[in-house]
Amino acid sequence: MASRKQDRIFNQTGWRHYRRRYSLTEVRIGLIILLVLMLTAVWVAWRGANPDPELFSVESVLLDKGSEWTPLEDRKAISESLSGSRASGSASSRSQDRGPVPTGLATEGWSERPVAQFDSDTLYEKINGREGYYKSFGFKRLYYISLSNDKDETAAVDIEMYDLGTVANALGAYSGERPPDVKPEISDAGISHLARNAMFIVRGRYYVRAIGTDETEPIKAVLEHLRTRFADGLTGESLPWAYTLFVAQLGLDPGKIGYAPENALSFGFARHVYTVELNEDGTEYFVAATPDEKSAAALAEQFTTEGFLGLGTAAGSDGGIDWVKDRYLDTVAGTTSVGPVVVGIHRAPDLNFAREALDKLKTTAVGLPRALIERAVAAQSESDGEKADDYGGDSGEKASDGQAGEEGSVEAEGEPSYDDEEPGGAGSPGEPESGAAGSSYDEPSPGAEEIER
Amino acid sequence: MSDQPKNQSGENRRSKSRTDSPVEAPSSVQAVPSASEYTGDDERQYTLANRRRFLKQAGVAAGLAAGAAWTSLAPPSWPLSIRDPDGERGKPKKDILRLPETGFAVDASATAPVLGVARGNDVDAMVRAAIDNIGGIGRFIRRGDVVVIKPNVAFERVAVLGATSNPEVLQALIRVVLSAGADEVRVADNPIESPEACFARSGIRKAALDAGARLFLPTSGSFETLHVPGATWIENWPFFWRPFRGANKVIGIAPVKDHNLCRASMTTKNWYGLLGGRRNQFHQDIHGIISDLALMLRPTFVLLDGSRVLFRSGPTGGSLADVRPGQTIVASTDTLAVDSFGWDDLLGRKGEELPAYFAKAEKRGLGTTDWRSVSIKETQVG
Amino acid sequence: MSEKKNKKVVRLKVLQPNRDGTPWYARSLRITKIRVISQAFFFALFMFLLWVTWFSRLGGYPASLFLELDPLVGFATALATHTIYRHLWFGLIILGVTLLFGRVFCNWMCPYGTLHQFVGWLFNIRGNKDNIDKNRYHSVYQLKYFILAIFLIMAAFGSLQIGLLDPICLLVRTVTVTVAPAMDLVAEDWGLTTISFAPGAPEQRIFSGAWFVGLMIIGLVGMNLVIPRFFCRFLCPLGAFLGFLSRFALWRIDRDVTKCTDCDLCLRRCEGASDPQAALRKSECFVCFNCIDDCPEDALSFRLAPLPIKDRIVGSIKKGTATLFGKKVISKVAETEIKGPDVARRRWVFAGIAGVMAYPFLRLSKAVNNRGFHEKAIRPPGSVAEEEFLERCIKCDQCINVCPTNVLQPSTLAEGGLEGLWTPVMDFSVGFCQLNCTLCTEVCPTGAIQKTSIARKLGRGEYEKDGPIRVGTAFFNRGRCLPWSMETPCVVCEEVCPVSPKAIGTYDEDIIRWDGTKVTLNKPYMRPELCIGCGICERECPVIDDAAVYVTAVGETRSEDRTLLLKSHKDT
Repeated sequence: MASRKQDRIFNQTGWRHYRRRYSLTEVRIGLIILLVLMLTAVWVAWRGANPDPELFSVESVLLDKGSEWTPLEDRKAISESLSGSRASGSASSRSQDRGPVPTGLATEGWSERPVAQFDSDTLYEKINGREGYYKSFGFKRLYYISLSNDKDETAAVDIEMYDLGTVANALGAYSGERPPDVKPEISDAGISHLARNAMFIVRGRYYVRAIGTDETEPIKAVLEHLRTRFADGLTGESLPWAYTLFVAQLGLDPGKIGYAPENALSFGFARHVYTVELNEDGTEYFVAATPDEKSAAALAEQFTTEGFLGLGTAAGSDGGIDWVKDRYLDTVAGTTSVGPVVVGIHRAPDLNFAREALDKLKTTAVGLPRALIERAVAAQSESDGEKADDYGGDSGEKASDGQAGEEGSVEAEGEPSYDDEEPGGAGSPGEPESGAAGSSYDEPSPGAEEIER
Repeated sequence: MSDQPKNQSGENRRSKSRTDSPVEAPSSVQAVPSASEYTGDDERQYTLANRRRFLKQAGVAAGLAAGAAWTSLAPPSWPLSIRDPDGERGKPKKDILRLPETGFAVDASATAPVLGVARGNDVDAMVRAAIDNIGGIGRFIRRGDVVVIKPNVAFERVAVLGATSNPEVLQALIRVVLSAGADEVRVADNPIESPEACFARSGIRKAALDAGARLFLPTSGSFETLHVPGATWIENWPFFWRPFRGANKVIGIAPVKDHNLCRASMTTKNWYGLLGGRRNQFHQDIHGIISDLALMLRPTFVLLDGSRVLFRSGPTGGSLADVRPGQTIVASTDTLAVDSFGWDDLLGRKGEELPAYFAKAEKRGLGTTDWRSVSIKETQVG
Repeated sequence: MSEKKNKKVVRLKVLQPNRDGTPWYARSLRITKIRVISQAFFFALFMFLLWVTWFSRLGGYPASLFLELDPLVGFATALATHTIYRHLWFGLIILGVTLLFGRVFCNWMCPYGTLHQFVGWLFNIRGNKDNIDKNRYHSVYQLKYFILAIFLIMAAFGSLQIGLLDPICLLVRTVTVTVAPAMDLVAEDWGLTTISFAPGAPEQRIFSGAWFVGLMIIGLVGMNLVIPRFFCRFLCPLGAFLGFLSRFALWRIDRDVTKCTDCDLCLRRCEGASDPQAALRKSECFVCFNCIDDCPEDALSFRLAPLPIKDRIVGSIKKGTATLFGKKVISKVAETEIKGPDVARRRWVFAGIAGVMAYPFLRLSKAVNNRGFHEKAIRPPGSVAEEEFLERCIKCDQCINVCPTNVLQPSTLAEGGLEGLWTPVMDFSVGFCQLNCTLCTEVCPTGAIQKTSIARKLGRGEYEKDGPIRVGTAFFNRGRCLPWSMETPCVVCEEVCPVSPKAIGTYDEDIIRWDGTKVTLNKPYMRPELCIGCGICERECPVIDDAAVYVTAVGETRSEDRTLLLKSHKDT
């Protein structure tokens, strides 16, 4: 008996106790305690059923921000600012905003990847190391597209389209990267050339480089196609005045023309200077446009005194031109002004050559239309205004006006090309059928309507 | 511990008292009298008792030995044998499940359009109209059906942010399905973020329960390995099986979303939420995976919920600025066609090349990526 | 034999009046039964509150009620921070009860005490004599007062360590880290979400150091088989705190020396080892009333302010001639009360010195300072700066219990040293910080994680200018990243990044792989100004053992000294 008891697994004494007397007071107190416990339970249950509304609701937070839908115009602005601040990676900017890039870049058998965009903050992501070059040419935006061959996975064409703000900058960047021996095709609205596996084109404010992976025929065909697509798809702008002077009037090689928006000929003060090479020795004309005769004369003076004389010695003067002989290269340089235009020559082999050549330039430059120069000057001061805030108030204002106009025109130019996709996409496969079926669908859907509004 | 000796002495006391007791059966060793106390007849009795005890003990020992030998040495096919000569038997065995051969699709109809588009603002009417445009709910749901509805509840976002299915649309769909006589509607998804939080925050939990559906949240025991014949990557992959147990119809309801990697997440990508396991490896070939998803699940029909369009920053969004109203709901039996419609019409990317998974899935004969080539019916409501 | 008969009689007599003529319910509802009901109630309430501490159940339940009722938590945090956070004034209730009735909390409410008592009772194999021996007071029971003194002195210096041993903190932590996940395992097997502590959790919750917390409870509870109420008598700092207070209690157990026969049966089930058979040690008495239950002479009672009777006894106890108010004194022990804790002043001095020394020992450890802190000591959003955090955190792990993603983990010695042991840190290999969730800030009883609205966490609405709360910053380990080092497409991290705009961007690059295929790699990079350290990128990274994107604590907004970017000082 005792052993069973001893070996019970659990407690052996149970409720056993030894008291002999019980008390009703205890029961009463006990009942009060039980009542308190019940009240506690009720309180806990009540608390549970009444949560803090803030704890689980997030709506109020969001709706604080704007209980209405963000107006679509605003959203567009946000989206633009976002896609600017974002790198290509974020899907939004990658896949929807083509910007001014013409459609139909891919030919049969090639396909186009989404357009990636980079602004000056993110440019390094794409072309780390080279961005300083494009920034010196007033870089605004880079559109990057890659074409790949559907069959040959290794064949591709990478297209970089730089928006450099002005045609002068675009040409400048172009001429800086152009190999010395190419002969570009030039029209009134642009300039382009095809290299072995590359195509370069300047059209308006855009400078486009397309580099293929190799020199095979298909790639070349694509490059040729790209040249026409960009020539047609981007609005051209007439070439700067210096091209008129050098190419149209003097008959020089457009492939030799250079442009430096600043620090021209390594002179800190020299801005917006066009140069053209005359011969193998590196003799160059240089020209710059200024607002009026007085400033032109002053600038010409500056070229001589602050520029060339720093590197050489005076070598006489005639006809108002102070010739300078370079101390190291033994070449001759001279600068003068014609109306609002500064003209000059440097690295001439000898004084005679210099005198003759500059004379020719001078007489030709006289014939330049005044309006052309004024436009050029306006464009220059505008792009300077962007760079330096301390530029003269008057011209600064003018600059920002011009800027706005410019932006506007780009916008107008970008939008239609986006809408133009239909005809542009004619080359893509599967399109022919869509004509009939799609036409009934072309009325804007309510959603689409809203977007346009 | 000090009470140990006391206990022992107590034990002794008790065992003595036990021998005194005539009722106690001599069942233990202690109860057997020691040999020195006996002589003569007693000795014989003692020997007998001893022999009996020996036989008993020998029998138990032999039985245990034989049992152990049987279980470990008998050939594996014999009963009660647990022999495993090459280690194969001990490996865990996974049940591999399959979905029905033809998926959950109903018979194709010659007359009903493939795409049913409804435009407007009244979500209830749009859901009905869209389904009516592809033949009406009666074509798809029969009395007694058990229907799984798969919304996209991937993220813990409120509905207005467009990262998840619109709960109002879901609710309308559940009501329509129940009105067609379905026995049970199950709402299931395996979100990326914490399931409880995702279902609650997105409003899907409330919408589903209010409309009378059953909610299935993933737990570690909800998944079984699913065999998808012909799939590139997910031929055998953990599948959110629990809601599918006994179900015979599947409806997908997906929002229209931009996606950072696969560019667009719509009805096809929506099946992603039915898989478990190491989904974070899917991104290494997302297009291949999505076309596998299309192969894995052929739904009864899908609803593309264009009431809101997350047109950028997808798939998570997070700002109202990423969302615009789409005022469109599309029903379809072809996930590729409806997705290509969404790409052109709702995401507004007409003219851009479709993401690669479309072509991959089309190549497998899982649908048409050109919605213009399929029959379509559109209604304006509300 | 005789017992068997007794049992039968008792069973038949359930509804019969008692021998003393009182009705049956005076026995069935006697005070010890009420006590058991109360203990069961509070234990159930305690478990219930832990059970509702979960996203889908929380509602408005006072999930941390017991921690807030714990007066030691309130007192020690007040010592450390000079403030009483939110509901910590609830401790006054227990304080008041203790000043009236003594350590009622210990044997009527404390769930840990209940657990110890129940286990000790259930597995008790001792007879009366052994039980009586086990329940005599022993001088080593004063250990708990030294522990309390050391903890309080450290708290005054700003290092709150009571949570290591405070029974409520300890039990909440134990349930969170070991019992609840074990329950979930069972629930998963049986398909019962009702008993699961974490319904809807996609995966079984795991906790770092669960084994140690589990060992601790098994050890401490198991000790009841050797010494009843081992933890309560030896270690409990809350018991010591209440014991210290209960010297002022108005009521206490009183022994009538004219009835007491010194049979010592009152010790049979004495929970506190408070010597009711002689001079009651008020500081040790748990007010369990078992002694009253066991006194065959009816000599014990619970009385308001009983008189000390020693001086009123006339005659000699030894000679047996003593009388009290004319009644014969039977007991050989005249003394009936010892008020305070039985601790010599010299020992208090030692405990004080130990406490004063302990603070620098802990604080001079590397892990808790602004230099050399552990990179994975990532505190939940809403946490105060580390120094204040250590003044407030009681290691109760309620935040860890409520966390829906399992990201909050009890810190090991590595992340916080001994001082930060079991405090919450985020481990993104286990979970991630859910963007729109602030549940941990809701349940924290002491304000180590301050109550934080979602608007505040996200930096929306009126908090727009403050920006979001950041708990750390994500970094890329390019050597392990699939696109960066393995020519393999991935960017799960960018996809799951929940902030808008995303804190992870990519450099896109088309490359020809080693096998000649052409792939687009989206190589991810961080935008540190946007990263809030939520860690979902690390959680979802396919390189699961040592993620290629990982969050460390630097850049957290709670601290001026642990920032990363110059920008983060702009608004201050």
